[in-house]
Formats: sequence, C-alpha cells, structure tokens
Amino acid sequence: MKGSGSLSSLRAALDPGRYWSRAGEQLQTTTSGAAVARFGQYAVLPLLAIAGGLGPSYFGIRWTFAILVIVMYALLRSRSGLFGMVVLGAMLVYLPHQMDTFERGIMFDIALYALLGIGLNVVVGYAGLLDLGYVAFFASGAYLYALISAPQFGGGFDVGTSFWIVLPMAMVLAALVGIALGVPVLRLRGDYLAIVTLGFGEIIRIMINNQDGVTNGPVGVFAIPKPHFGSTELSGPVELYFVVLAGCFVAAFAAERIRDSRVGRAWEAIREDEDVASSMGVNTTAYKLMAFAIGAAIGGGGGVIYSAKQSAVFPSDFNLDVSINVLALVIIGGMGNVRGVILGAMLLIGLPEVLRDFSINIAFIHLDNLGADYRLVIFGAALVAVMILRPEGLLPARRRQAQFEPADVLEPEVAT
Amino acid sequence: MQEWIQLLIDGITIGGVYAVIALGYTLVYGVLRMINFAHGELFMMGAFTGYYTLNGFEKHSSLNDSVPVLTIAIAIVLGMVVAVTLALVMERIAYRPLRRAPRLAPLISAIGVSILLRNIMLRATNAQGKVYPKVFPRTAVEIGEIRLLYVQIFLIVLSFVFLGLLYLFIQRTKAGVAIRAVAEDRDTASLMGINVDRTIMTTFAVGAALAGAAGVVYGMFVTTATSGMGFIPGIKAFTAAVLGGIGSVPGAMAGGYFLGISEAISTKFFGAQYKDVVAFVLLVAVLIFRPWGLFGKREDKRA
Amino acid sequence: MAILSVRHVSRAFEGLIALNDVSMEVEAETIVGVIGPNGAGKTTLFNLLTGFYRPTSGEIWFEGKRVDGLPLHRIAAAGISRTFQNIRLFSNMTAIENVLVGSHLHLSTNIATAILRLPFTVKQEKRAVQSAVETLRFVGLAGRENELAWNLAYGEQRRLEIARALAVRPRMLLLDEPTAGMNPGESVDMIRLIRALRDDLRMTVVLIEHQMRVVMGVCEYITVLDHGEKISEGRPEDVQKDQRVIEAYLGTGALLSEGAS
Repeated sequence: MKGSGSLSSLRAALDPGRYWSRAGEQLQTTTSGAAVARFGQYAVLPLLAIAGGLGPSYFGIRWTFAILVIVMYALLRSRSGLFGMVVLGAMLVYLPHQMDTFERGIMFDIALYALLGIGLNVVVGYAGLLDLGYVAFFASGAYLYALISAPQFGGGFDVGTSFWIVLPMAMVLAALVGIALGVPVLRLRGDYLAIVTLGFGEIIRIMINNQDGVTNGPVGVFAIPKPHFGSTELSGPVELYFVVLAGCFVAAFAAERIRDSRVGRAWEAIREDEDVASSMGVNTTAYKLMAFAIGAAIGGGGGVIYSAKQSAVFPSDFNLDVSINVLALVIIGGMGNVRGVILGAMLLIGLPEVLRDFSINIAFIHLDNLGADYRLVIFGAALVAVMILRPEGLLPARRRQAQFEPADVLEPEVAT
Repeated sequence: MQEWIQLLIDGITIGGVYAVIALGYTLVYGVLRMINFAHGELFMMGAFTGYYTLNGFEKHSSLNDSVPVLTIAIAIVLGMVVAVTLALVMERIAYRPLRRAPRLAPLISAIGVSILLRNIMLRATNAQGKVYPKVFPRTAVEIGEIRLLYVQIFLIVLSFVFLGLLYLFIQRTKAGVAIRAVAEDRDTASLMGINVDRTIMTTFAVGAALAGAAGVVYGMFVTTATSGMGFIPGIKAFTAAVLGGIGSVPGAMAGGYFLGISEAISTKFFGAQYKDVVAFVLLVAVLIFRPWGLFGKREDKRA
Repeated sequence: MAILSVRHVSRAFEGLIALNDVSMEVEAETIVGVIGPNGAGKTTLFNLLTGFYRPTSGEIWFEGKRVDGLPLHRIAAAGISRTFQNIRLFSNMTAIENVLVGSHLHLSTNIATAILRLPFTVKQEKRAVQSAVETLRFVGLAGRENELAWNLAYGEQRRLEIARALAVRPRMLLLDEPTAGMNPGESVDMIRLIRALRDDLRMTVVLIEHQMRVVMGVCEYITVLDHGEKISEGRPEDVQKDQRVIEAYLGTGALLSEGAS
C-alpha cells in the first residue's frame, strides 16, 4: 500500500511552481482552448493596432467594440500571462483616448461593473453564497461619499482630498454593513440567503428613500465634488475610468490571490459541502462573513467612484436592477473567476450600450432600441440558457462546475 | 377600537392574497425543495390577463355592466389558464433540465425566468400601468368608521374559497395525496408507483392557478396592473410561506394572514412607507430564530 | 486513561429514540469497533461525537474536555476527525486540495497575508503541500494528487477521505464503514492502513464496520449497539460469544458469515 506512487509523480507533485497557485490548475487545458489561446497570441497585435490606432472614429463604436471583445476574449482564454496582461492594460489605457464622451462613458460603465462583478464574484463565485442584495453595499459607498462631500450638507471636509479618505472609509463601512447583514443570515441555507439578501437590498433603498433628514430622500444629493489627484481634478469620464480601472486591477489581484490561498480553499470547501468543511476545522461562519465583507468592501468602493462620477445620487439609482446586472454578468461571464467577470461586464454592460438604438426587423418582429429597452429581457433569457447549456459560464473557472455544492437529494426522473 | 377593526380587515384582505400566493411557493418547495422565484410573476401575468379580459368586455360589449359576475369569472379562469400554461412551460424548459443540477442552478434559472417575464411585460406595456375598467362600484360598505370596499369583500371571500378548495384538493384527491407523498419522500413515492414528473407538474399547475386567480382579483382591488407588481407580493408571499413553515399548506395560509395583519398594524406605528420593511424584518427574524416556521415542527438534520 | 468518555448519551428525533443512554470509554491508541445491526444507532453515535448532532441528554468528554454541543470546527480543533459512510469528499476539488482543506487548522494564512503573499506564507504553503503529498502516499494515493475527487475510484475515494481526515492531525479518528463496498483485496489493504494509523501515527481509531472479518481482525475492543442501546462490549472474542449479541444478529447471519455488505 505504501510507496506505490512513482518517483516522477512525487517530484512533479512537489514542484512548488506547479502547486503554489492552485494545485492542478494546469491540467485542464482543452484542445480548443489551446487553439483559441494560440489564435489569441497571434491575432492580438494586428487587431490591437487596428482597434487602437484607428479607433472608434474610423470604425464606429460597434466595430471597435466587437474587435475589443474578440481581443479580450482571446486574451482571457489564453495563457499568455504577463504578455497578455501588458497588451490588455495598454489597450484599456490607450483606447479611451480615441473615444468621444459617450463612448468613454460606456468604458467607464464596463469598468465599474467589472469592479462590482469582481466583488460579487468573491461572494457568489468563490464562497457560493447567492447574494441578491449586492446593491446595498454599492449604495452605502455612494451615499457615504455623497453625504460627506456634497455642499448641501455643509460637511466641513476639504472636498479636494476627501475622496481618497472616503474611499477606504466607505470600503470599511460597506464591509461592516456586510458583516452586520451577514451575521444573522449566514446560518441560512443558500436559497433562503438569496431571498433575505434581496430583502436587505430593498430595505436599504427604502431607508434611503424615506430618511429624508439624513439622505434628502427621493430628491437625491447633488453637486458631489470630483476627486483630485494631486492638483489635477479628475473630472471627465476618462480620468475616473482610470480610477475604476486601477480599482479593478487591485481588486482582481487581491481576489485571485485570496482565492489561491488557504482562505480560497476554505471557501471552495464550504461551497462543496459546508458541514464537512466545518468538520475539517473550517470556521464556516467566519469564512462566509469574510467573503461577504470583502465583496461588500469592493462594492462600497465602487459606490464612491460612482457617486463621484455622477455628481448626483438618488435612491432610485440603487434598485434591484443593479444587483441583477452584477449577478448576471458574474454568472454569464463565468462564476468563480475574474476573467469571466471581465468578459461578462463587456458583454452585459457594454454590448447593450453599443446596441442602444439597434433595431431588429425580421418578418413580423420589430424590436427597436434593442440595447436600451430589451437588455433585461435578454439577461433573463440568458440566465436560464446559461444554467441549462453552460452552467459554468462563457469563460469557465479552470475547473468545471466547481462553483456549486453538489445537490444533496438524489432525484429519480420517472416512477418505477 | 374601530381603527383596530379597520386595520384587521385591511390585514385580512391583503393577507388572503399573500396566503393564496404563498401556497404556490410552499407546494413547489414541498416537492422540489426549490424556491420558484418566478412565482410572483405568475401572479403579475394573472393580473394582466384579468385586465385584458375585462378591458375587452368593456370595449366590445356591455357585459361588464349587465353581468359582471360572468365577466369576472371568465377573467379569473383565463388568468388561471395563462398562469398555468406559463408555469408548465417554465417548469419544462427552465427547471426540469436542472433537477439533478447543483442546488443554485435552478434558483438562478428561476431568477432568470422572473426577470424575463417582468421585462417582457414592461416592454409589452411600454412601461405604462394598465388601469382596470370599473367592474365593481368603487363604493364602500360603511359601518361606523369602518370602510369596506365591495371588491375587498369579494377578495376576502374568494381567498377563503380558494384556500378551502385547495385544502380539499390536497387532502381528498388522488393528485393531492400524490403531492403530499412526493413532498414527504420522493424516492419512496416513486417506488410506490407515483409518477413523480406528473406530480411535479400538477404542483406547479395548482400553485400557478392560485397565483393567476389571485392576480386577477388583486388587480381589480388595486385597479392597476404593472409589470413590477408581482415582485413585492411575491417576496411577501414567500415570507408568509416561511412564517408558516415552508412546505406546510396550512402554515402558508396562516402565515399569509399573519403577515397581512402584522403589516396592517405596523402602518399604524411606522407609517405606510415602512410596510415592506416590516415584512422583511419578520422574514429575517423567523429564519434566524425559528427557521422551521412559527407553526412548524423543529427538525435538525445535518448528516 | 480514557481519551474519550461518552456518558449516558441519548439522542431523539421527533420522539424517535435513535440512541438511548449509551456510555462508553475509549482508551488512547486503541482500535475500537462499533458494531450492530442496521439502524442500531452507530452513525448517530458518530454524528454526536463529531458535533453533527447535539445529544438530547448526556455528555461527551474528549481528553478531559467536554465537547458535546461544540460547533463542528471546534471539535475538529479539539482533535477528533472522521470519515463518512456515504463518502462526502469535496468532489470538484482535486485530491490534494481535499487534503489541504484538512490541514486548514495548521495553516495561518489570512486575507492580508494571502494578498501580500509573504515569504513566510509561501513557505508554509509549500510545507503543507509537501505534507499533503506524503499523507496521500501514506494512504496509497501517490500519483493521484491532481485527480478531481469525483474521478477517483470508489476505494480511492474512501482512502482520500482518510487522508483528508488525517490532515486535521487528530488524536482520534472515526471511520464510518471504511471497507463498505470494497472487494476482499481492498479490504485487506484497508485493514493494513488502519493498523498503520495506530502503529505509525499513534492514533486512536474508532470504526463502524459491518464486515466481521475486518472487525475481528483489526479491533482490540468492541462496542455493540442494538436499537439505540449498548448491549455488549469487550474484547472481540468475548463479544462474539455474548448471547445478547448473537440474538441481535440472529437471522442477519452477519456475525458468522462474511458480512452484511
């Protein structure tokens, strides 16, 4: 029984380079994946040159966007590592300079939702907790910045620098809100958790709406100042887009590193079988709270940036649709991995904007303003389709279906 | 005192709606251990069907005035038919393929169906609420300071009738027994020769019929159908089902009335704008302190 | 001195008594078998010992500490670990990841150190991987480190469960039907492994087992449950002759022939 393994496998197993990040990660490349990856490597540069050099002004936003998605997809699928990241980074930094205000707005939205998606992915994808009230954390960050900085409340803060102070404050606040919400509900089973978090999201919105004295109620908060970086005011969508982009990189880096550690393993175990994880010594409540708090902190940070970008916030900005958008992009993009979230944000947030006034007229079907009016119709259908056809999402985590706990009831299809 | 009676009556009115919808949640949960997130949308579709039916009668005939009983009955039946059809389609397409899937999958699929239906109706109506024709006189019976709309009386009575019918269905009919058997233990039920697939479909159909009917009547009560109208009542009804101990039929009924009355009374203390908050707080409190429901039996099994 | 002391423990489910006033003591570094016909309450006993259930009444003491009613992870921290009758691996994780989850308590990475990936953390993780590889080799799964748990053969899954439980570094290991569904050859391997747990790792082992050959071959002490009550205990050869045990098993044939499974 002992010592039946061969020496080479042992050596391979002990190779730290192989194991450090994630045991066994490299083993799952499919041939098609490899092909796409190779394609990605070769196709990236010319495409990049076309997309970046000529830009939207030459191609129009739709084609530019299509190219961007293809390049991103190839890069995200590939294992080009540092090279890919550099190309990606260069593209994301360079491209907005070629765009007009509307297009820059789209880039900002994509990046912001990618950031929120990275946060929610920690909760849903890593720890397997279905949170339908993610907007609560987004809202708390947005309102914290709005209330502290807007002149109508006469807060004595130096508006020029307050952003960089409020940002971490908001993240901490959102994390605390997350823990406060999490403590009572995390003992619940998955589907109860979904409904309760959904309720919390609504409660937060109702509270903001009704606590006129604190939040100015449905009238909203106006004239929220822009952040400063040194002496530069970050006023336009490009500057704030870079703030979000930086946030995405930091959040993605942190999230992936946590996932690849003992903490991420504990989350995965909880997702697989909570009781067994606990009996292996994992303090499941603490770890679930941790996931909740990290996700919330990222959402809160996103809220602060949103608030600064919009200059005005209203309770109606923080409705259920925000939570649904973020959840849908995480699930459709690919639960449990940041690359899927990025792709999801591009497709679910970017595409509807690009196709805002796109019309379909086939036979008796006339759908105007496809992107603007039908996006949620399509999201709904897409959620169902993804669950049935490709439950791991468009860009799956490196291992199939790792995002779910196994069903605990065995279910016969037909009577005997 | 009269104020309290008024609150009680208001509570019973809305509680009846919650109870009827809650049955759908509890039945489906009973057999599939799954929250049918799109259940509130069936209610919404019922309300729209009611609107289109009654509005059709209004425009093309005078039947709404001469025999309102008939047009209302037709509206209710059509509401049920539409809801049942939709429920069967969604069960077949969105849920059945996922019956063996990991637990979150059918839940996410159900959320998808809910978003889909809500937004289809939002587009179909151009985001405009549809106002019901006046079938009931908008007058009220007044006893002292207590006001009771005719439609309200109708709603209260009809809720009782539906609850009674469902109870008889579950207790007395073969299909009802099959549902209870599958809810109790699917494997055993299947071994005993019960067609599990068909029973699950029956369960969806029954729940949907109730939701569709409730939608029509509720639509007449609030006089408007909107695409978002299923959402909050859906969550409330789920709350009611949890209050009564999810999976339990009498529990869902009691939970519905309990929630309706609690809500009505809470408006006296916190104002109407916090009504929804009360329901959520109740939901959370029950899930934390008595997850098996206010009336249910405790069970703890982990292994 | 007894490492485990179960004192008058009962457990009822909705009026149904699954375990009634059971007391038992387990000496350190022994291999103890818990046997009994189906529905005797064996797995219930394990679930009580590992915190999956709380006793309705009675106390459980482990190494002089009261452990009943503690949350699962604190019982693991106290030094008790287990396997499951119906294998409960983290099936979408690889073999080595399963074992690494088991070593959770012996690692210290938190969110901050995970993000910073300090040299200290890297080293600790490397050591954990190394020891996981050794543990897998110990149970005979060398070379299978990167296999997803659900891709492993049945017998391998049972051994992986043991490896995962060992990674918790328990002083007492509870094995719920370790040889269930195994062929005789695999069972012999398993017996050898169980002996090694005690002899090499100086562990106390409590096991539920149906195959009498395994029980008689490996256990030094046996507790017999029937209908939720302890009906006999003692050395294997004595228990085998106990009239009440024979009666409890009468008709099942399990005591004399090869075993129920």
